[in-house]
Amino acid sequence: MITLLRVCSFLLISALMATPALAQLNYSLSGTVRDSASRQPLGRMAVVIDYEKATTGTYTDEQGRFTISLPSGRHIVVVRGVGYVPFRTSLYLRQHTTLNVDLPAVSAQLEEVVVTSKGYDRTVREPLLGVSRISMKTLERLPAALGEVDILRGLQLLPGVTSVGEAANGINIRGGTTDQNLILMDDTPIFNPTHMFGLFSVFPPDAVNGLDLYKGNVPARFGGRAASVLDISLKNPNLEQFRLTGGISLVSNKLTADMPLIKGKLGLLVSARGAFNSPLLHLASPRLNDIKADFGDVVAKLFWRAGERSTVTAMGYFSKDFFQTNLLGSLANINATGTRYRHQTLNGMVRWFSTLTPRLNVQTTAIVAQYVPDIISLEAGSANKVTLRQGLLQRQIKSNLNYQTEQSKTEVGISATHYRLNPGELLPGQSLSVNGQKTPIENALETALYADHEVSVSDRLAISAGLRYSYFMNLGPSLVYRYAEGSAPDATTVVDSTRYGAGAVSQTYGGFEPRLGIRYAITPTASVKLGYNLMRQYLQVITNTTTPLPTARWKTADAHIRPQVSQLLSAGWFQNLGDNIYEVTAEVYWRTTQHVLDYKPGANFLLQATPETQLLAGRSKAYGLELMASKKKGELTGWVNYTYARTFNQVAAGTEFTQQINGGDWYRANYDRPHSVNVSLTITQTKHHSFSFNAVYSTGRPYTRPEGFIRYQDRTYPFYNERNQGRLPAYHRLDFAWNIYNPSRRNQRWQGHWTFTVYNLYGRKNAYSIFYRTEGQATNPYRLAIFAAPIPSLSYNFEFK
Amino acid sequence: MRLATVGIGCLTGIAFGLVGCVDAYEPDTLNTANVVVVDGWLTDQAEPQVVTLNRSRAEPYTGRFGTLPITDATADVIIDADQVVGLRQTAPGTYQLPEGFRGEIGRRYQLRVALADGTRYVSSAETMQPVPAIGRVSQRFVPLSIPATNPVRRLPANEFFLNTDDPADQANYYRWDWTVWEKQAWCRSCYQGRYTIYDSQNKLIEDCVTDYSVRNYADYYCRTPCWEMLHSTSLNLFADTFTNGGSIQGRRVAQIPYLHYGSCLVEIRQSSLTLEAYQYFQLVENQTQNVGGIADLPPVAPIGNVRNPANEREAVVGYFAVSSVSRVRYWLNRTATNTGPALANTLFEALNARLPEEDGRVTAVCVPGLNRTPIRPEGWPD
Repeated sequence: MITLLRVCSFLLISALMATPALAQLNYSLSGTVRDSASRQPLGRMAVVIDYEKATTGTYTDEQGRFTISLPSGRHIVVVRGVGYVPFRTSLYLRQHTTLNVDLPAVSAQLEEVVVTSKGYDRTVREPLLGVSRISMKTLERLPAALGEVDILRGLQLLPGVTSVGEAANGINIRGGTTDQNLILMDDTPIFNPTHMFGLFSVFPPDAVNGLDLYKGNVPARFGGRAASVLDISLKNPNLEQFRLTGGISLVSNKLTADMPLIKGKLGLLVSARGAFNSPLLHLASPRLNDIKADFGDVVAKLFWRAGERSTVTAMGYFSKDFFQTNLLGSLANINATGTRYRHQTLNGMVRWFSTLTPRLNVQTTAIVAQYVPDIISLEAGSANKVTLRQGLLQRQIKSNLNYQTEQSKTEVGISATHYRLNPGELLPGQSLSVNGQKTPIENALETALYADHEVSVSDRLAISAGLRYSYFMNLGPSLVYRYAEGSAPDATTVVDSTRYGAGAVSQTYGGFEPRLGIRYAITPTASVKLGYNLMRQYLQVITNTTTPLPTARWKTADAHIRPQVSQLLSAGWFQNLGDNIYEVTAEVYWRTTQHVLDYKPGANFLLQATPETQLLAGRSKAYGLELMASKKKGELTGWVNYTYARTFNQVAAGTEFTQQINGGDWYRANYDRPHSVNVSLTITQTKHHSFSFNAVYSTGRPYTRPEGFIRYQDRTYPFYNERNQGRLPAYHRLDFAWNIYNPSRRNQRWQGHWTFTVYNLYGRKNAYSIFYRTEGQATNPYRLAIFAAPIPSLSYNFEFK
Repeated sequence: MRLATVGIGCLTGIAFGLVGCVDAYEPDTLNTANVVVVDGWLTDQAEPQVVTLNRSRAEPYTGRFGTLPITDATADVIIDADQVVGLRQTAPGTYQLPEGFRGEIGRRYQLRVALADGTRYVSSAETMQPVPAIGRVSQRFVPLSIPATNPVRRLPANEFFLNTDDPADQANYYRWDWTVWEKQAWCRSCYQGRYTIYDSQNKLIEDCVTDYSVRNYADYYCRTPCWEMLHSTSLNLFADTFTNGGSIQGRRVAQIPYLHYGSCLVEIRQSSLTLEAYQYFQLVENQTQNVGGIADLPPVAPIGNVRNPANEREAVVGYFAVSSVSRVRYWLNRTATNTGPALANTLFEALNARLPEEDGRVTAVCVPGLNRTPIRPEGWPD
């Protein structure tokens, strides 16, 4: 691949330089090569002219000197050697010329790839296990589908992170469902992480500072989800310098302004992105007339240095989607000619931070998050729209105290979260036939107390211990049915009901959530780590589709639906090599989850006042091995990883046929993909450009394939029986990105760069699903692929200071 | 694994993610099913009340799918838990209630079946629900109506719409079906053979007899008047959950393919279902028609309301349903309303995708069956 790259870059550069090929007089090019830091001359450094090492290259002598005779004209000179960052230049030779070169050592370079650590000691020394950090700089260089920098797609290049496919509305981490990930953007929860149903993530890329993914040890300050925490922090406004960045891609346009309002005191960051593609789509093909796909998001963050010791941060985020596609179903039983989806998120956060002593600080945060998805049916025979609206409002207040010494770090905190859920209301508009309907509002309160303590016991041993106690209350007004003992909850098995008034507690759950991480350093560059986690989840999505729709219903725990409780045991080995240029890690984990939900055949949750009648409770287990090697510095950076991971569910809610899945045996989860390999490489060839490649392979996901066919009512139908016993063909893909920078303008106020990407370079038709459709009297199998051809795209990004 | 790509155009750029790319695909087949299929649908109409039984299973050697009618079973229907009416086998696997038997609204019906090997099946008791009358029926010619996948296009059809008033005092579940009668002139086609009425011993055959002097087909006119019957092939269901007591307006209930230029007779049937029957057909619809999206439901065994009491775990496919039916017949004069070309010039060409090759020596009988009748349908003009 490297050779291929060189050929590519040679072609590209020669095209750019337009080298004259006429033979002229010869002149000498000579100079000295030194280490940029120590000023020591460097011997055995290769000096390569016009990429033709064999014919015109030379090496430096012991004193770092070189001399080479060249014809007059333009030449490309490359000086390189093991352990040093190569130097490249082009010059026009018209006399004897001296070229002195200072090469920086690779190990002195700042890390380009910051996937697993912020500094080498973070991975090796930190007691936490399974924490992935990915910098936006890394993400920006990755080849992105349609040129949109995407956090969720970038994360899927890490071990242990998968999804059901290219249109997945969320990611699966270590055998968890998509709703078991707590996704926080500046502390505010994101309930629907994608735009355009899985195609792009909702996080505005230019405003994101970085992200931490906790897939192993989760600090006790986080709670409420069973599998992982994705903690995305937004950039803080710059208090000193105005900065404008923006970009144009085939999909969206974006603009970010970083504005110091009062120098050194008050700053505001505003970042907006919009995609209004519907008119373009209609121009592209008449087949797309029924397709609509518009989205936008805007984030504003205010930072106020209120005094010597305190700061105030406020953040607001709004995101909206509006789309219509033939890949999503319609609302049954509304006589409609078309269906549209619309969903919006409105989040807000205010944080007050105060330093009490140099070692002690306190932080108090108030959070509000609202998510409202709508399904809009265009009623047949009229212009009326019937809307099915749902809503989720979360309000939270939390406060924490941090104390830090040389050897330890302690945090204690308290948090209270109120949930108000509108499970669904039908708004008939001007309809003559549709009746308005409303399902009762759900209210709940989740409280938590926690303490985290991280201590270095010795040079070799460090411990991170956390304990969280969470307590959940489902609040009235509500009507709770009681079902006959031992029988499935059903309209026919109701024996009693209790009505709870406003604010009355109808059900409580709670318990301790211990978190433990231990690191033992075997050598200064190698360590082993052990971790244990228990997490409780009181709010979950109830959906039985392949991937949750943006309109899937969220549900709090109640008298019938118990919170999910997940335990994770993990162990890992971490090794830094070659002056911390390389990092090798191996992790294993075992996870069990109680009270996961599955669904009765034909279950329907829309406007369902008693969802417990549609549900089956079960349990889940997951285990895996994750291996990763990364090169963090140098011209070539990147990583290779392999994951072996399995996830199984078991549902045997009762003895009846319909209360079990696969006869009560363990069955493969939708996202059980045993083998995956990801390779991500970035080659920074000059200041002018960099190339990136992603190569991805994973076992196809399970699906339910027919076990034969049946003849019924003069049609041939597939006969399904066992769940998820088939597997889609393996998924693999290669992506390419070429970033072109313009360093000659580096010191000017306006800097621009182009990114050319090709997603799915060899155009593999990766199956998102295989399905059987009954057409006429016959049933035919089909394959649905989402990005089924090479997708080239070009984007332009700029920065103005 | 063999991949068959048909000419389904896929789009570029962002359009990909929004419409996806659908190809015909042939996954490795798994043919292990061996299930009893019960199809019973009792109505309140003056028509044969039939229950069919088949066993759908793969052939053990080739793995190819096939069905076998279940013969010599005994079946009866229990009315209101006391009265028992027996069914009589009229054709292999087809069992019929006595001539003139009709269901009545409000009564409960339960099916009992005993196979020749002694295995017993029993359905749940279904109560016949009333159905409102069909209101106004209208039709419209749509040049691009029925989706065809190979090659991708839409076929012309006459789309039928109806209005009906949903009663406010109860929950109603609907199913719509259609049948179209087309005049059929050709009654038999023989491939490398000739139609023979009597053999050399003067024995009545009325069938094709192999004759390699016929290189392809020999086609035979009907001896008597004959009608081809085409039926709806997709499920069309509705519940009044959101619209109870409202009027159902402009519901599309049929897409009659514009096969040829001749006129035809269309029957629209509006049937009432019980909640359980509705849920069953909806399950079948969801996993056989509403598929291919990005958020499909996990398919499950299409087990209806028939059980083997001795083995609760046996999967019995199909439903014993009872329905009140209201129906409307509509004379469709295609040349009067339809613009644009039909799929073919004649019904024969449309159904067989070739021109008839008349043998001319004899004529063939119109064999009555599911798709053909020699009896003039009510409403067919003289």
